[in-house]
Amino acid sequence: MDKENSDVSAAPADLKISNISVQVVSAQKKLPVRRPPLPGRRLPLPGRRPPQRPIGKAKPKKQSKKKVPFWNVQNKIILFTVFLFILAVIAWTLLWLYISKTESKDAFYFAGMFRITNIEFLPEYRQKESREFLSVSRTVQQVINLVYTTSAFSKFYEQSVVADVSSNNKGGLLVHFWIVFVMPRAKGHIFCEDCVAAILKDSIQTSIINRTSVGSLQGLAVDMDSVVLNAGLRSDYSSTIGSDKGCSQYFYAEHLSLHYPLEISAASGRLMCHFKLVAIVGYLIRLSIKSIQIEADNCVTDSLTIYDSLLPIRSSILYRICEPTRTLMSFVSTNNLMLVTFKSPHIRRLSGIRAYFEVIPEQKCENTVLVKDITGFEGKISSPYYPSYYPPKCKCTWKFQTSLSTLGIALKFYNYSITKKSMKGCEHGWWEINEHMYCGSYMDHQTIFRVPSPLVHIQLQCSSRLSDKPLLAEYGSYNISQPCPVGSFRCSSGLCVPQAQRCDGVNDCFDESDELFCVSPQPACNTSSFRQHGPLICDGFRDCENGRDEQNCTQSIPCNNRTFKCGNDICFRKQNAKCDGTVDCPDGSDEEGCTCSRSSSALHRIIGGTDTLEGGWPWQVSLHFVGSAYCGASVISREWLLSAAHCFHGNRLSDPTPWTAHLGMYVQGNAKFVSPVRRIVVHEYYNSQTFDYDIALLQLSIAWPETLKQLIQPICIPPTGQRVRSGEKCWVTGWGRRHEADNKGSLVLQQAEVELIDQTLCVSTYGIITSRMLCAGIMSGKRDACKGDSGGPLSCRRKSDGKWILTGIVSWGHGSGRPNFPGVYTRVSNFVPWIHKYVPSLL
Amino acid sequence: EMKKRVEDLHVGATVAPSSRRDFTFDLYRALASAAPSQSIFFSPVSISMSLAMLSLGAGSSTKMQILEGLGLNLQKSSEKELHRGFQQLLQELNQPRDGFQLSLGNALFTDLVVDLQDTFVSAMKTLYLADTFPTNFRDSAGAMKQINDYVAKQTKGKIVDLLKNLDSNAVVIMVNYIFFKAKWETSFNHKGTQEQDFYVTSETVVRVPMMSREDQYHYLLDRNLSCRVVGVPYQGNATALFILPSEGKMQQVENGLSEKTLRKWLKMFKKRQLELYLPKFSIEGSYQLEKVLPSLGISNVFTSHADLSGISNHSNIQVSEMVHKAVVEVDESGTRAAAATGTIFTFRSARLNSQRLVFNRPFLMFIVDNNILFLGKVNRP
Repeated sequence: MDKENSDVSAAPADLKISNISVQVVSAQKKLPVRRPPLPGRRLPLPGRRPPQRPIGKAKPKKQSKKKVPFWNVQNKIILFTVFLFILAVIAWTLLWLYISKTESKDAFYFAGMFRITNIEFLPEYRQKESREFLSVSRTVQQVINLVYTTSAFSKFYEQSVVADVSSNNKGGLLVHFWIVFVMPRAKGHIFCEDCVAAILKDSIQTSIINRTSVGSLQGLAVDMDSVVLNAGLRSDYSSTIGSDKGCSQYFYAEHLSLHYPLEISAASGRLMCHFKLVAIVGYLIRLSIKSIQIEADNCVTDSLTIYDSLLPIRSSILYRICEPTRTLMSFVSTNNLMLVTFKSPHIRRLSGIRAYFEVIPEQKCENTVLVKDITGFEGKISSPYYPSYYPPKCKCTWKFQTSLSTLGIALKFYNYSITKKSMKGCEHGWWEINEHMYCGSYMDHQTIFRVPSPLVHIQLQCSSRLSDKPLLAEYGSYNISQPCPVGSFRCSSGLCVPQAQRCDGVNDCFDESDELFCVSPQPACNTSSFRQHGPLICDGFRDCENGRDEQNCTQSIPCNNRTFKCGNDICFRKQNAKCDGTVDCPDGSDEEGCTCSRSSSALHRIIGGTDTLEGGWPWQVSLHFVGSAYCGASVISREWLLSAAHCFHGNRLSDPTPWTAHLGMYVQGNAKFVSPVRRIVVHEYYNSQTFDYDIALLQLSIAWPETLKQLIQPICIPPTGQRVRSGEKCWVTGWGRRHEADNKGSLVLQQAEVELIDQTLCVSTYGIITSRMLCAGIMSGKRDACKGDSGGPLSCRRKSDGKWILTGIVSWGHGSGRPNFPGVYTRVSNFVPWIHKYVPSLL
Repeated sequence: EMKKRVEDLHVGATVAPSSRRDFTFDLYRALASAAPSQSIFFSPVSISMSLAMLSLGAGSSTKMQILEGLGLNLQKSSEKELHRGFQQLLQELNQPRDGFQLSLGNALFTDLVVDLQDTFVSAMKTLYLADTFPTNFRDSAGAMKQINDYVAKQTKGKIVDLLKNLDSNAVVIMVNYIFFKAKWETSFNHKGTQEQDFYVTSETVVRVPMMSREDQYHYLLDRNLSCRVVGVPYQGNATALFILPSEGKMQQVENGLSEKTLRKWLKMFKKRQLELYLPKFSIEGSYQLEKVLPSLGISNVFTSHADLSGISNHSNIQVSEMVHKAVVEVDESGTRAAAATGTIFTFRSARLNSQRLVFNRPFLMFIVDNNILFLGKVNRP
């Protein structure tokens, strides 16, 4: 190589080095520490600014003495090596700086509030620039500084910022603030939310003697009970503190009976709004939402959140809305303030909210009623602020007195029921009625609760963490010795139905209690009272000896709401003709578009189960929570799965992001298709205490591809109200435990053949069975679903067309596989309209 | 409900005001360092009580040492309160309760030559419900039998052989015993109890009956000390805390024990569904406190420098032995059946990982109500 060439090649390299070393000034400081300069290595680089002093000193002499022989191959290699080395050192330093820099930037934000009792509110506090606001916020910041700089977290404490100082209904000042901690990400795990709050609470010195909750926090009189502190989001911090207020607004509502509109919408971009609402002292705020337009994904991206504070403090959330809605809903605060946050960070279609708020007086929820001596319903009681959602921590008392000692009090609820309290807590209202405890739960039908006493004292305490659905009940007196009229049957739901309707195959009680303990349901088969309609008529089961109930089912008759209508407007009596596997309409329209699987594979084959054959149950899904199998599910369409609600019960489990759905899988972990879960829809009446309404829909983030249709197939949803026959053989499948005492689930998909159990037997076994449940198993035990199978299918094969029907969803049981305790499943046929509401494409 | 109870606990606060010294935990560490690989079990509240009682008869520096050793720095007036506090506590503890067996008592055995001051005897009786017995220590076998029989009778046979041998030179022997057995709020299912391995060390394995119950427990993971803590409530006010140090971290946890740590745990408890595996065991600890307390600064009372003028005019008397014995039985029994109908129906979702807590290696145990009733280390159940 000649000299010129080597010069050319050396020059750009040199440039690079100096460029970088100039950019990273701080890097050089660290260099000697991390990597000492190379001692004694001769660096024959001519006339350059040396990156390091010892190297630079040696250079000029060598260069002048031996110019020509200097550029031999050996030296070039040395030069090149050194150059690479320096480059590596610099890159390493840069990387190190980058890492340490990003690490140190890991900040933790806490939003909190407390009430100061010995400072009165001044209107000036509303102005963030006012001297008064600055002075009071400085005091509070100093106090918080003192608390945390003397705590175990002092090393990480960065600062506190007072965001709002407001009046409130309890007197004194309500201070809202942020606390910021900064620590290396690696140490983030030692940071617990409770500890941060505990430090603040521990610093409040309360006096035991005067027994009030007000104590001294470094000289401030602070109400211990008012302290709330939760981890918050950086984005919330910057939008409530930072200069970029975006669509955020303050509202001061001073006038009663005035609607203050709250409307915002956008068709693109992003909306991250904080609306702070403050009413005059002594009043509350009611927010009425007319419509919300957001992406439905369980609030992962889009949400509307209503807080009972002025900062987004998690534990003061009154309600969250994660789906678009057009029904009017309203919510009431417990103080004179409210924060409404609306988030829609990536608007694709239209996002927005139409709402208004108003100032309302506080309501006392108590009443004393003298009930007249006529039996019947004569008045109504309701939850506080009806028809608004009622806020948590409410309390109502009602006293009733009838005029005769033979009359008791009856309460008729529209979509609610109260039952004896078990050892577990109540989720939707805690009732004390004449010193007995009950829990309330929402459901989809009426119930009547009777108290056989002329004097009734009722107390309702809200037990839900969030605001709860409005509640209305009619009250009246009833004859204690004869709650239902002569000739009528008293349902478990409390309703009274004519005796003639008992065991007629029609669920007149709504809870099916009129159809239990029947010899066998008998429609009136004789000519005179033969009912032309009803579930037993034309349901495919011959109930009458003369077979009359199954005659003339597809004969064309005038259309009404109890007939099935074919595509060519022909109507007939057989109501569940859609996708039942038999072509009934002359044009075949009743069997069109039925996409579910016509059992591809021939029947191949949990507790007492056997290994399945690969591909035998193509609708079976395994749901993984943070990487481990937790529940099962069934494929019902290209992007929807059906599972059990209890799989998603709880803070972490209800968030769709940690979940993945594994489809087309045989051995755990070897799925043909895996998709994250985009959205979880839990039935609104799901109740973890009563196991009722245990059903949930899951929307996949990615629809499974058509190319996998040999391995992944949807299972059919049963026709609405489909009757099942006890003794019918069905299959339960899953990767759950194979024995009750096992600790782990099975690796290979298991299957077990079980029998559908008569509902009466099911009810007498467990007692708490509702019409949303069914039992399946074998009475000897041994074959059953177990832990880990929940949400998975109970698949029954329909004889008429060989299609597989999703009759049940694995839900609960007493242990697993115990004799005389069959498994309990969610009865899917009760939820067909509910499923269609979210998955209309199924029909 | 339990959370409320946990919040109401003022550990060590009702009687002994919070102290500079941490008598309970210093005593624990002193006992632990004396016998590093052995189980430890004692009742801090019972020992404090017996020392406070002794202070009634002590004077000058002997008394100061006891009170300071207990972590108290008291004026005369508050000393009265201290004794009254213990009196109240004793009355509370001795009250018969359902499913709760607790025998706690003190007794002083003095040689025939010692004349006791009437005021001391009556104070012991009224404040500490304690008896004094003249004993002929020259007949050491007879004296030992007298003492052991007394304790056996008081504990209804639960503590026999309190003393294994007796020095015939003894003049004053202080005896302090406590037996405790209570029912859990919710019982463990007998069927769930199975023989399982317990790792005394990584090499030494013993088989123990391991009880198990899945339930909502108060639980926390202390990352600073590297241990897991679970609270299992007894019927009534008492709660047992079981502390499982991470492997190899027993020493670290022991060093970190303090009243503050305990308060922190009670505060940080969170309800959590757990599969708890706990050995069924009976643990007892028997200590000659005169050998341990001097390291906590309480020494004079056991030497010839003792000023026990409040007990007797007799010059040169000292407490020859101070014997403490604590016994606790842990088994499945509970007030509420674990498998009551209506509560055992369970959903069939899988369990999330890390929800099993197995006490199959040495662990620590507290039993607390308003005070620390017991503190111990179970090395070998």
